[in-house]
Amino acid sequence: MQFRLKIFLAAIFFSVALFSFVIYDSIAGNLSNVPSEAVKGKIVFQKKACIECHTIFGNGGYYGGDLTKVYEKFGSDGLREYLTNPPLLSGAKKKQHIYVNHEEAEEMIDYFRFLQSIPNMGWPPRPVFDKKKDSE
Amino acid sequence: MFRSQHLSYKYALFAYFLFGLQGLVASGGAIDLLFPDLGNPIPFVSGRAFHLNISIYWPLIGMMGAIYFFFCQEAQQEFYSLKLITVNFWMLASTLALILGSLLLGFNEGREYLEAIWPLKLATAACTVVLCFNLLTTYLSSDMPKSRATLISMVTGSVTLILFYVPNIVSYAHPTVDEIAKFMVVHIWEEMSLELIGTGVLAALLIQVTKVERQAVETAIYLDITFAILAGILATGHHYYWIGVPSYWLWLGGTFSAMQLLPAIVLLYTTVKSLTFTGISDLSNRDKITLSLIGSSMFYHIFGAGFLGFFMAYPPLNRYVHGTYITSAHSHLALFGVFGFLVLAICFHILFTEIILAKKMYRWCWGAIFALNGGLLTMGIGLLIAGGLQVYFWRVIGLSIGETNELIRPYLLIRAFGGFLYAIGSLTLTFIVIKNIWPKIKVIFQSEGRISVMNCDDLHHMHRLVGELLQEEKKIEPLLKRIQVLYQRLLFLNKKNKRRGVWKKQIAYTANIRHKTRENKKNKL
Ligand code: HEC
Ligand code: HEM
Ligand code: HEM
Ligand SMILES: [Fe+2]
Repeated sequence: MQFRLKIFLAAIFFSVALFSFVIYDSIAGNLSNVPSEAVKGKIVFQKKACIECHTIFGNGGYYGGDLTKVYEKFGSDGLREYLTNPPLLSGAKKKQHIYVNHEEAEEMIDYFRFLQSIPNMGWPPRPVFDKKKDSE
Repeated sequence: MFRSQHLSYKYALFAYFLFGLQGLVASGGAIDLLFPDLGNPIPFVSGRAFHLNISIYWPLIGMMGAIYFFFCQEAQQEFYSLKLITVNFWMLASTLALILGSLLLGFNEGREYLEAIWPLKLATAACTVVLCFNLLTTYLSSDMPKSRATLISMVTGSVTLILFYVPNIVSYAHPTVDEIAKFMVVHIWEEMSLELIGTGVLAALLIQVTKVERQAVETAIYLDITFAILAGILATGHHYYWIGVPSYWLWLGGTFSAMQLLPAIVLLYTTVKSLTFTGISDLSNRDKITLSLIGSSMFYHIFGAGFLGFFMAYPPLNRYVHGTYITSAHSHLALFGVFGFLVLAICFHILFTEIILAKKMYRWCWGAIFALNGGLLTMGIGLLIAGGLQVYFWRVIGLSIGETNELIRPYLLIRAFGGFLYAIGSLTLTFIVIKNIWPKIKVIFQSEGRISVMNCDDLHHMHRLVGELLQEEKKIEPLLKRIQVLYQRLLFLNKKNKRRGVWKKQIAYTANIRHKTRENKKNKL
């Protein structure tokens, strides 16, 4: 076999092996179990395709902002209110935020509570200068 | 010319069709973001999912066509099964049609880029398996050196397509696992598998067009694909920084991402080197269009993918720019900029191998390429500014989503404007291609049994020259000379070839044209 082909195959082997190992390490033993209510909420979240407008961990659509730590911001009551009684989207006079019924809202709130608890190195970062706090 | 190559035309045509569709649907989405009250016929959610799925499948289809076209040329033999090439096409086309249809109807799995329901994902995996089966059997039976770089890169690229797609057929209970799996397609497919396939195909194309010697680029290709593997797989880490995995990913992702510039630079070097082998003015119009599309791809490979990605992958910076329109700028500049232009170049080359594009059409092609580049750059700049402002408003001074959306609207308008320009370019190019292919549409979809075995490079070359001759009276003299040379070669071949009837017809046809142009000239004088 040619030398450069050997190097190439070694590169594949090395990369795939290391990649598989670190993936295994990142999943096994590192991740907490997902509570069953949160699993239900995740399914609702997927069925409604919230990800097309929102990001989770920063991945998704850039229209409605990140929801990873939204539980911390609104709490259960705030989220329930927002989702079941949706406000107008900013800049719109007619178009409201997507509506979700009470049951679905409860399940998604469980999901957001779980998301909040995942340690992800503190992302998203807190604002450097919090304008609202300064003006108080 | 192999029969397998003939069978790959339909892939190229379908890729062009999708590319025209993409521009159209995306413009609708961009307007929806600007004027939420307007009432889009397609809801934003379905539209975006539609857009993302085309953006994954469209390079895939183009590259698969390119593999079928170039692999047999590099392996110097037909594919193991010609029938499977056609079967594979209809599998893939119907899978995509079902995916797009089901997304419009609202079936959505709720995972970005992987919105298709699982049976359709299974079908996608099956398509890649069929490709690999045909490719591997052909590879193993080829008489060419097994270590030929172009063969190796296409085979490895295709096999890894399956490997990294399979974990995504299902979704997982834990959102972190979902994200880990998702980027095996969104990242590894694009930045490793397609990169390998693209390099192999591009090299094969350059060897054919510029007549650069294989030995001169072989080592460079190996260097390129080795770097692409080494950097590409572990650089997946740049998508894993904030998804809830251990912090060593910051190091892994950051380091290997920094290496990702290497393959891009080697590829640029290879391309430039092979281009110096040929005088640009000697090239046919078709080759000029192909090479300028490749040139565009190189430009975005270095700037849109390489440099922009390089800065974004630095973890302390990524912490702030992650999840903003800056990523969107990168995804358009890289995905369309690199693979879009590459697929357009290759498919253009493939489609106009036998069919001749009328000379006056080339002016429109140049216009379209200009609009695509201008549109993409405008879109990229608009998105970069919008994203930069998002970083400032959210992450620096802490405004809300709603307030931020209000403030960045003007820049999304610039993006939409760029998008329109782009869409004009894409629709023009698609229109030109489809309009000129249309009269031969039956030939494109011909099944393998009906294709004549008589295809021969020289004959096509001659056909092309005659076509040019008819359009360009000034250059008649040198062209006639070139035709004469070809004639002699063909006549020589003809003696060895028993199938005389077909040759005779072709020669009579050419002689007839020659006679006509002579008459024309006389009349003018
Ligand atoms: C069509 C796009 C779209 C879809 C789909 C969508 N959202 Fe939103 N969402 C938005 C926008 C835009 C905002 C910002 C509201 C504003 O303009 O003030 C928002 C705001 C929010 C907020 C408040 C965020 C904050 O930080 O202020 C929550 C919570 C939310 N959405 C949850 C959801 C959930 C849960 C779903 C899925 C059921 C969903 N959204 C689907 C567009 C969308
Ligand atoms: C050929 C090339 C490339 C293609 C097609 C490509 C494509 C993409 C796409 C589609 C995304 C968006 C993913 C999402 O929606 O979450 C993305 C993100 C990203 N890419 Fe690339 N990319 C390429 C090359 C590179 C290179 C060479 C680098 C680094 C050196 C890079 C670094 C990144 C980073 C850091 C992100 C994440 C952005 C974020 O944090 O949101 N990319 N890329
Ligand atoms: C063929 C070329 C194109 C490809 C391959 C492509 C690819 C992508 C990808 C991968 C995404 C998801 C990542 C992201 O949100 O940035 C995306 C989103 C998007 N693209 Fe494109 N795109 C193309 C052309 C266009 C055009 C011409 C427009 C028109 C303006 C456009 C508008 C959009 C919009 C509005 C989004 C959604 C952004 C959001 O989430 O807010 N795209 N595209
Ligand atoms: Fe990536």
